Formats: sequence, structure tokens, C-alpha cells
Amino acid sequence: MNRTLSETLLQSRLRNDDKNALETIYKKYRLAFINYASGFDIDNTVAADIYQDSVIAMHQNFVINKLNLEKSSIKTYLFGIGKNKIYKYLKEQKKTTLVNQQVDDYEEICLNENVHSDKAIELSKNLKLISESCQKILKLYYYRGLTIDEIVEQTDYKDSATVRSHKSRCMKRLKTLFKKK
Amino acid sequence: MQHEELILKYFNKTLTNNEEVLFSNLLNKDADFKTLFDEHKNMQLAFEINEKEKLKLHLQNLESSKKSVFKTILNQKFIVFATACCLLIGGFYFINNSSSNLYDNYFEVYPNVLEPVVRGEMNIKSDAFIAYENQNYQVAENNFKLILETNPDDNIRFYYALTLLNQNKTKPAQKVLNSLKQKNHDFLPEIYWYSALIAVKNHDFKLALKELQALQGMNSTFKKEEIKKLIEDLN
Repeated sequence: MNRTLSETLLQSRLRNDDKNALETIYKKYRLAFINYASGFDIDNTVAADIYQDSVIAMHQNFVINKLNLEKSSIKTYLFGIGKNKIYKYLKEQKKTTLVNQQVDDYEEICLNENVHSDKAIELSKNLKLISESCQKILKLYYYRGLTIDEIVEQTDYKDSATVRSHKSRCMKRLKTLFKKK
Repeated sequence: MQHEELILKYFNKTLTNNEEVLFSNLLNKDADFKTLFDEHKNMQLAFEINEKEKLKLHLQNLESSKKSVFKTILNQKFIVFATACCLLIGGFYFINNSSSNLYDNYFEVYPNVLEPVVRGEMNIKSDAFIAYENQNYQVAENNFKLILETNPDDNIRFYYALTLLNQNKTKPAQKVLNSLKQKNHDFLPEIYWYSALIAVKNHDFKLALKELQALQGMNSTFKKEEIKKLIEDLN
């Protein structure tokens, strides 16, 4: 499939955790998704909630796994994730009979959304307690997957040694919080 | 190659074939490498959890602002009708000013004077105040609550109390306001004013007068005229 320039750009912006790109996509396909979900007998509020979770799952897959869609469009991919979440919702609501009735162009996409360990949950709480500069540098490294040199390029740190030492101090601070508990 | 660099390349899916073999060997045989790998994985998951939470709040706010725009359009369509109704019932309303609507006469939503909202900025604090300004008090309440979990700022607690009050959750609002009376923050006169209004709403006029007199004792300029007028109404 030939991807349009705007699709390619949007994907690249999503990989760079660009929140404006996320908003653009959210607004662009919101109504279409809510209409799509109504075909499963799902009301608008629930549909909007499922849509939000789908957009977030897609966005995080772009950021963390550096997703590059070559054979499908963002819309098809997003609706595939949404379809999977709709089925999960219907299963929970025990409306399984309806599930079999929908035939459409979207292939269900099940993302391996991580089951969070207690350690990761505790860590996520402690991360909120450290300084903003620490949160920022650790996020760039661990969440965005930027190398030390890329962090130097994208921030005001003067060199890689400064980034390394700041990152190391932040990790120490985080570990101290763990020990306190 | 440094171990950290190898792990980062694994997560970025950029390992070469040789590096993959090296990575796999180290993961199975080197305990320190395994610890470093687990640490990286947990950090990534922790950020994933926090980011998910932030993004969800952001999208919920987007959703709420869509509804506000819709409401505004709807309000404009019915503005003529509403004005006519107001004119008809206005006289009746002022003649029959009972104690229960005394509260409504004096109650005004307190503006956001703490955190100037910068559009496009995305953090939980600005999300909370955007929601507050857009009258999405449920979203604001959730956000303020989340902030207070990690940052016990009494100014934020004041706005948390007001989001409750703006949703007519009078009892929990009163509890939070009472807890703030002995604290050091920027909104002491406001706290006594809203506490007095809650007392009025609860028909506890004695308590309302007590709160208002305490407020007058502060020599603050906040609602000076309204305080005088409300005391007269209550006596």
C-alpha cells in the first residue's frame, strides 16, 4: 500500500510521542468509531470510552514499540484495536450473540497490553514523587527509548556525561523511595 | 558495548544478529545483566501506567469540552426562550425569597485565580484547572484528588472542596473546608464565606452567623458588602 505523506508524517509524530498528532487522530476518527460501535448496540458514552482506550493503546504502541505501519492505515489499525476492545466489552456484558453478527473490513487486533506487576505499579507511584527534571529524563530514556546522545540533542543538557550523571542521580533517588517503604 | 546500551537496543528492536546472541547469553548467564534488564522493563511499565493515566484524563477533557461547545450552541438557540421565562418568573422569585434560595442568591462559583491556564500545556494540574474553568467538575474533582495523593497542597485542596461544592456535594465539601480553617494558605476568607453559605443551605443560621462574624473579624475586603447584607438577611 502506498502511504500518503500525511500518514507517514503522522506515524512519525506518534512515534515521537507527539500529543498534537494524537489529538488530531482522536478528533478525526471519533465520530466514525462511535457510529461503528453503534452497530454493536453500544451506546455513545461507552463507545467514547472504548475509543479513548483504543487511541491510547495505539499511541503507546507507536511510542514504546516504535510501530511502523506499512500494510495498513492508521484508521484501519485503530479500528482493529477498537474492534477487539468492543468484543471484550460485549463478552463482559455477556452479549456474545451480537459479536457474531458484525461483518466488516476491520481485522481484530489484540495488543499484548502488559499485566502490570506490583513492582511496576509501586514504581509508577514513586515516579510521581521525584522532581520534574528527573521524571523527564527517565521518561525519555525508559519510555521513549532515546539513547543518551539523542537526549542531549533533544534537551538542554550540555553533553552525554551530564545526562548520564543526572539519570544516575534520579535512579538513586527513586531507589531511596523504594527503601523508605 | 555497554550493557545498558544493549538493553536499550533490545527494547528499541534494533539489535543486530550478533548482538541478539550476545544479549540472549547475558540474559541467561549474567545475574547483574538480568537485574539491569528487569529494572529497565519495570521502568518502562511504570511510565506506561502513568502515561496511560495522563492520556486518559486528557482525552476525557477533550470529550467534555466537546460537550460544553454543544451546550453553548444549544444555550444560544434557547436564549430568547430562557430570557422570556426569566422575565416571567423573575418577579415571583424575588418576592418569595425563602431561606433555601438565600444560598442560591449569594453563591457564586469561585474563579480560578491560582493556576493560569495555558492552552496546549499538558499536565494533570493544568488539566484539572481547565476542567474547573469549563465547569467539568467531575473531571476536575478526579484530577485534584490525584494531585493531592502526591502533593498535599492546601491551595489545591481549597479548589478540590469547591469542585465538590459546585456539584452540590455539600457534606464532603464542608468537611474539606473545615479541615482548611487552621491551615496556612491563600484562601482563608473564602473558606469562611463558603462555610457560611453551606450553613445557610443547611438552615443552620446560627452557625452561618458565627462563620460570617469570624470572617468580618479578618478585616478582609473579600465579599465585604455581601457579608454585611447576608448578616442582615439572617437577622
